[in-house]
Amino acid sequence: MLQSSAIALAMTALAIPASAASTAPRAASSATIHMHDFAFVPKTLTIDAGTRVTIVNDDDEAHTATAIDASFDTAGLDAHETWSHVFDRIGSFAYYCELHPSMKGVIIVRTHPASKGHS
Amino acid sequence: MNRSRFLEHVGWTGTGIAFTIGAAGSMSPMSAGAKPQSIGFVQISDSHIGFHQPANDDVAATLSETVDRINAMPVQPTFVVHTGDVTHLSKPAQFDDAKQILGRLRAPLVVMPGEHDVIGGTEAYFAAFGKAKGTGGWSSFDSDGVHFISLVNVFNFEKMGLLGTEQLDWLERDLRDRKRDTPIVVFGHVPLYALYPQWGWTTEDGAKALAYLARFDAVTVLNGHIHQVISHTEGTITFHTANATAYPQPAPGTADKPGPLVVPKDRLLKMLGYRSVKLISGETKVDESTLA
Ligand SMILES: [Cu+2]
Ligand SMILES: [Fe+2]
Ligand SMILES: [Fe+2]
Repeated sequence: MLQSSAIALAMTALAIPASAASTAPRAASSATIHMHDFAFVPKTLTIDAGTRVTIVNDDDEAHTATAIDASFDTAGLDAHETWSHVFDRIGSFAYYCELHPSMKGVIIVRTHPASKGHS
Repeated sequence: MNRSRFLEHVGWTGTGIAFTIGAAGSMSPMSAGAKPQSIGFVQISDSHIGFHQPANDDVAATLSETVDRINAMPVQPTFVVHTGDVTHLSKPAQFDDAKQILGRLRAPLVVMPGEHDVIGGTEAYFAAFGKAKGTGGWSSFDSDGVHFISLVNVFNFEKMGLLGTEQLDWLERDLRDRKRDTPIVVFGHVPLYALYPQWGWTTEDGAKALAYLARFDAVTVLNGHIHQVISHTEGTITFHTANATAYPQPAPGTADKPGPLVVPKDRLLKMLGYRSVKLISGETKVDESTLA
């Protein structure tokens, strides 16, 4: 308990100077989607452009995360495998599992806050 | 190995029957001898070559054992049908491994894809097993007075268990002029009726296919996908799903979700195997054999 709150404090402390330095290139952020009990968790993920998304298959069954517009595809992701991809293009990307099409999710990619005002 | 060489390799039996893909897209047997009064064939399913999980750490070995047992049958089946999920992740190396094992069958082999065989597209599957000409991969053939139909219900990636209009139209034409007393046997991967839709164990437009089949006196529908034997009857249509050669799945509703079921090794072998089917003057006899 003590240890984890110490880490949380340290992370907060680190976050402040990073966001304050608006002109410096930000370290690429990351996000994770889990394939868990035949569902994508979270079902909707909103990220800034340039975020690396890692998809983790927690199940014993294989799954895919396949974009409807074919912009990304994990292909068959076996039990406990991971896949990752940097999302640069702005937009809303709906995806599903080819093996279990009732599994659906959306990744919403927004303009990077640091580039706002420059465009 | 290309399709014709694969068919050549496995498409011959000791009794001199070869299966060829005809110009019309149907697989027709060319028998040298007199027509027997009955037909016997074997169904295997869900080999999931490439699967490496605790539910079965050697799926190649259990498929291989299945092939050995079929090859040891004193009367060889007219053909062996694999009702899909030959591979786990549609990888070319997995298709190669599967063909190495299936290529040892003494009887000709008829294959159709499961959803695990067409991940990312159908190219790897068709490259491995060929494609019936003139259709999207579905086909029919006649043998010993029985009409066999091989359907594909895994080609629509946004709906699992779907035949589609093109295939349904083909099926209607395929059946239109047949006499109602022709025994019909239908193969497909995902169950054609609503077996357990909560887990996707259904074919959305399966009822349309069943409507075309309903006027026949005796229809047998053999599916895979659910990795266990479940039988069901609707009018003159009898359904049987098959055991896998790879791993079992839970019975409908007995778990939160489908997927590989881990059981002790001795129990596992009782849940894997193949099915012998005999059609004798319109009567269908189904016999399950396990690897125990
Ligand atoms: Cu899935
Ligand atoms: Fe399967
Ligand atoms: Fe399947």
